[in-house]
Amino acid sequence: MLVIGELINATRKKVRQAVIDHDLDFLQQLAKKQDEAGAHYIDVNVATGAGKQEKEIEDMKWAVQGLRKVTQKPLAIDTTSLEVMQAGLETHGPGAMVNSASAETGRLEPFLQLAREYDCLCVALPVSDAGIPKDVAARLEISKQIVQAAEKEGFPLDRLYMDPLAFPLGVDDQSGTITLQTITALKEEFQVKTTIGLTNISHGLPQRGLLNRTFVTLAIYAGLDSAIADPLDRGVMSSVLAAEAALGRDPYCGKLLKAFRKGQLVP
Amino acid sequence: MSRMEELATAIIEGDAAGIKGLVQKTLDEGSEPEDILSQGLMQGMEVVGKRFATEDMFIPEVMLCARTMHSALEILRPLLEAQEKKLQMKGKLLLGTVAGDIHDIGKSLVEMMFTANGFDVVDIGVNVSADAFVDAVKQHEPDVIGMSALLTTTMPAMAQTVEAIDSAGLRQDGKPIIIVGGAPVTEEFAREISADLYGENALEGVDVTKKALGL
Repeated sequence: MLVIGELINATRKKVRQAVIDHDLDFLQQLAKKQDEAGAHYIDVNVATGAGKQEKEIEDMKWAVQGLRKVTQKPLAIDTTSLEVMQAGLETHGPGAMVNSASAETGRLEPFLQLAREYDCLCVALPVSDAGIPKDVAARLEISKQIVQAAEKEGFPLDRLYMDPLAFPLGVDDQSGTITLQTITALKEEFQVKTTIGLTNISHGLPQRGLLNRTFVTLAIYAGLDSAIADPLDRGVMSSVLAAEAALGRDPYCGKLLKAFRKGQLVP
Repeated sequence: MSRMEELATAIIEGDAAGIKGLVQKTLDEGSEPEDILSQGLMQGMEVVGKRFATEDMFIPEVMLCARTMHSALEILRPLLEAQEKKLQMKGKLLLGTVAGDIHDIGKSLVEMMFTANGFDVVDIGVNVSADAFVDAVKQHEPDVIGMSALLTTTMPAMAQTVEAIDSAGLRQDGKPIIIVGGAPVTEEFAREISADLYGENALEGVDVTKKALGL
């Protein structure tokens, strides 16, 4: 399971302020903590909404440069803007993650081309200009368009992380099962990987940690390969390791025991 | 418990299955539709809004309360209209996500919170062009226009929509009120594009709107 650390995101207030103030130390600490907690990629979203796009490009370059100094982990460049993406990847060098492509106008081929050019993994959301597809069949249909575009662009499918879309259970009590069914169907239909924005699922409900780790366990069983999550949440990280061990994906329970020795497992 | 208290409780408990029967029974006993609404159902909604604000109730529960309210209004709305009385809601909110942006969850929460607080909400969907907003304002004559944008790349569309509404002459003396929100949107940005209000989240959106309307 590939864990993409979600904490450096300008929709979070403190991060937003740090980006505006160019408080590099704040972002670097967040990156280091997520690295040490076991994140494989560190997500970077600097969209503060203050200033023009040129500002976001500058902020992305600044953040990527600064974060690369304190972590060996590759970064996930998180933006909907092609220009910001390009700037982030250029600064980063090969081996980052593109977060994310979609089937919206201008978000598909150009993003896949960049991902190929910079030797990246690519997250893709099955959404289109028509909106967010509500059911499994509609999500698969748009996923198919994305897979076909990836094939056409020569982007390897085993580096394409399709997001089945996870939405708050609080808003739609069926959204969890739709996500799980979509994961299974994506893995059956295409030779792609899958990832989800995990913490969406528990938005607006109490005891979010309980829901997050229960859902990630179910999703791993359904075929989830990666999650965009909070790596500092020991409960979730422990459940990921436990689920992988339980499903026979952790030879000699090696990863589970290594985390135990580091004191990272919670009961 | 009085019949009005019973109605309020049915809203608070989200008794979507039982509410129509209870409303009908209260009508049969001779109560006026507008009293059922203002002294019964709305009282319940007030409690729901307060309990949600203190995290004593959660989104799915509030959704069920809103659905229960909708069911009750299916009976009351035609009766009130027959009496040529306007439905005494707190106001009408026209709500949409701006052009180029397809996010709808935040908008759904806003819809729910305004409904729960006694507003009549018209949701015109996602990826709504400035022209479509203008047409909808003409058609629905709202008291409040709510715009959502979840991306920094679609925030400019918010500015364009405000501009289009103004240049169509549809906002006079600050009416209708325009409120904006969404993850990357800030109070500063709201001022910059001359929106009237900004809501940090759905509930704050309701609060600032109620204040602006003098409620």
